[in-house]
Amino acid sequence: MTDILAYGQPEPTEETALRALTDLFGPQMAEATWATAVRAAGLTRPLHSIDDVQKAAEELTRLGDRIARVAGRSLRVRVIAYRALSGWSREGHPAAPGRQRRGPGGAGGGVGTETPPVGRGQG
Amino acid sequence: VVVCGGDTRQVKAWGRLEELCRLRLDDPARRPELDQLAQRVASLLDAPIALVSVALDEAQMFLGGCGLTGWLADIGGTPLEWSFCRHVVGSGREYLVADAMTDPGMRDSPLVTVAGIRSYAGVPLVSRFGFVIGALCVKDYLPGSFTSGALARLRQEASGVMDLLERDSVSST
Repeated sequence: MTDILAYGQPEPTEETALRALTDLFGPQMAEATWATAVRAAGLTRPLHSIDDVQKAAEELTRLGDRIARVAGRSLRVRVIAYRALSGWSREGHPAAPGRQRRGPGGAGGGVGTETPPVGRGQG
Repeated sequence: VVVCGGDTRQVKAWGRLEELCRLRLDDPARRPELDQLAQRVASLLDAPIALVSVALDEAQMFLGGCGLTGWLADIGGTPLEWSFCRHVVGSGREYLVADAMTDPGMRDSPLVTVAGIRSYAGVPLVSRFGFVIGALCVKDYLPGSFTSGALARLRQEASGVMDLLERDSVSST
């Protein structure tokens, strides 16, 4: 497992996917549901890459069980978010808890702004 | 209102997740209307970001919104533990953050440390069967608190979001 340690974000893996399904369905049904998704994705367990986990997540979103589809969407978001944060990290942006920026990336982000709280939203 | 207590197991409550299914939240046809509603909310509350966010079991998903840019706009949601929304779903109440840098529940979230979100106001989205499915929220890159008038508008608009979601949902579970 690869963590983006500075952000405290663990890489989604087959193990974490199974854990999430187990929370919903219990261990036996979770195992069966995951196995079905992996098979449907044309993969063989154990899964070794985040690409494969994403493929299995996509299949989960198409399975017949409605709650499994919710879990599949969750897993897909987690994989995509992890990839996005990894990309951000690889681009050389240091993780800096307490860092303050005016905008989420791009030019002219205004790093280091320290602004006192103000009241807003009179609408 | 069916309030899911603060812990994650409650957010994963079967009935609430079934409710998400009933509401057919993956219907892309609703997106333009929800985006438009979010734009109105952002304008009314003078905030750069407004989102219709739904809490799944392990992630939040943005059904509509405005103002997100860069990687955050691309991902369409975040892990649940990053989200402000989980506090709304966990308590069934509004969640207000005047400065996320000092908020123990949010200061370590990448939404704060990476994306730079500093302030937040979110109100519950409550289904007709009483389940809190997510939040309608505004976020800002500046710290600051929202007025009671602004919150009242946010509540009003949240009701509009639920009308829209219920309109096209499956009529019964």
